[in-house]
Amino acid sequence: MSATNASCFVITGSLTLEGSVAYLDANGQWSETIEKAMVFSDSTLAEGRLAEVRKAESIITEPYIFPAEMDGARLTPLSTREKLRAEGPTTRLRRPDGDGAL
Amino acid sequence: MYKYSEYDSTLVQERAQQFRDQVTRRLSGELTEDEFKPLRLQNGLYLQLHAYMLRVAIPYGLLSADQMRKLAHIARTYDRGYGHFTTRQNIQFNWPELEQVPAILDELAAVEMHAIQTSGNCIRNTTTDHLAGVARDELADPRPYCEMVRQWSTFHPEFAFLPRKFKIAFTGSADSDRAAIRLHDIGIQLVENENNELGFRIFVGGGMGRTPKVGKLVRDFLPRQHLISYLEAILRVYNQLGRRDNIYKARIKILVDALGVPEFSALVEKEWEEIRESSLQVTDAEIERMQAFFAPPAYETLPDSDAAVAAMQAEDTSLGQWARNNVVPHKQRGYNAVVLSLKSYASPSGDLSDNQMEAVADLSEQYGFGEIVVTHTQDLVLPDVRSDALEALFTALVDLDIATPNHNRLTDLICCPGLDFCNLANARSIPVAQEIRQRFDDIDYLDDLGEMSLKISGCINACGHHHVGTIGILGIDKRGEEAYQLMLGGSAGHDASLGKVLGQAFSREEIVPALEKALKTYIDLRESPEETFIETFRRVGEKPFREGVYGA
Repeated sequence: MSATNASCFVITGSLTLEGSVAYLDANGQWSETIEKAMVFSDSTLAEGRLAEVRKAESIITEPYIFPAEMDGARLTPLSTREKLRAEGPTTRLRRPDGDGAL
Repeated sequence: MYKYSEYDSTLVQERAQQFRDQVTRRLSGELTEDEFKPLRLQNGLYLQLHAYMLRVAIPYGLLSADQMRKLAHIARTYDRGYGHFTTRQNIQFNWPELEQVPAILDELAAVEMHAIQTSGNCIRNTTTDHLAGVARDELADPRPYCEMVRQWSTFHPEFAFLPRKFKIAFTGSADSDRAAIRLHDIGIQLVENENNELGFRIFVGGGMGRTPKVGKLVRDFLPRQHLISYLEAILRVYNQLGRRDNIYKARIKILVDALGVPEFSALVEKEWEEIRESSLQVTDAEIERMQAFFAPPAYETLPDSDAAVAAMQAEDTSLGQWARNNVVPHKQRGYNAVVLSLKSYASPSGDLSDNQMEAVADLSEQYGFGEIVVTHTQDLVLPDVRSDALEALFTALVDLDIATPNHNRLTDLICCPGLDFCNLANARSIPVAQEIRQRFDDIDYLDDLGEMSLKISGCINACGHHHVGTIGILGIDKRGEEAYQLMLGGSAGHDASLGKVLGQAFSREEIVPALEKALKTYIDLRESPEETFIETFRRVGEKPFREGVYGA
């Protein structure tokens, strides 16, 4: 795994039950917020950990690594795709009657 | 509409039961994702950016009021209170949990619905004209034939693992193609021969995606009884010769191009010879049986109301604007088809809440015969509204925010879910669509621009049909940033054409101003207000538009 400008790497996937975005945290659990994600400074370390978590397929589906950068204490994915996965859809509402935000 | 036989019901119920077992095994770890993925896709279940997404089939876009109420119930109970109508006349739910999907399939089966063949390399939901059965310019109702194709293709063992997905569309109209048949793997037009016998004109090899093609004519007239055997012959040739080594070269359009129409047609004819006189032949009795499901409802005998509707359309009021754009002439005297715009200024194209779905179901019974049609342009149609009920219906639709008078106008735009939701997308499309609707919210200006189509896709897969929009917008990834190409000159009708990229891509901030410049260029160049955008573009070509948008 390599990415220009990446200063760190994160392991993510989708929770098998909910389908929602999850990040591997420092305790080996899956967190739904990127703030709790375990940050790997080296892609080789991340690859090694990824091979382990792939064994827990009933909990996490299609885990993979994405590159990110640290902006102070804030972890920011490099790609637009991962930013959207972390923050959710930018469309404020999907219910056309406006009754209930996502 | 078609009613399930006992065989249909059993088949759909057993499929739901089978999937329940597969989900249980996935959650227990007995099935890996690699093993489970093809199973869930065969039941319309995708894993998208933020959640699972379930795509439910709506055969040829036709829903009963009870089916719409069931969709509302599913949206409310298992999802986040809304559904998204798609360009294959289907509906998608964006947030179901895996464990609940079998229950959703049970709910669907209870109203004769399912999610079968809404994904995977099989024959997908057959689509047709949203005005089928009511259009004034219709030669014959295509829905009985759509239903035959649905039954033939459902779980067809030979075509469960085609080289790629396969899409079929019908139109029964000679003058207008409202089903984009030339952009399908097989496009079928009902026609009459010189003896006034009804049959089919067959186009093959159309499609969008990264290699867009307009379908080629392979048979000018196919007698009705041979519909299924001829389709089977086409599918057999494709199944045997279509490429399986490269996903991007696997659609039938690539095969047709590689062989050329004469050789492809000869192979189909040869295959057809083998099966033409087989049990695949459709009897007159079967055609009549199927037509009976789509017999006209109990229309009242009403006086001609065209003059009264025309007077309403001439009014300089919001009712008049709506009637001009969203009320469509009907073949039955005193009735109209009404387009319910799912393109309000506040919400993504094709979205409808649970409450709105229930209200639409009620309106379909109050002002029609309990039927609702989903258009491939992500709107709904109430097909049988009496002229003397139009004003009352308009008032009800305004309250539901589905009365935007923009049918076939700039803001009646098709828009895929884009990078906000889709795993394949490169760029967001919904925010671009919303900005366009907010920027161009003056109905008088939209009317002045006249008939046109704007279609937005968030990636090259073209779910938003950008290739065939009068104006198309394609989201791309440009060095990690969202960017948008502007395309002009596409059409999905009988005069099908593919849009041309105007120039280099625009940033997110630049794309809507660029669109505005293209519109201004059209207004400056048109010879009269009656000359549409596509006519002007075809007359003058790309150059003046490029100069208008990018500067000389």
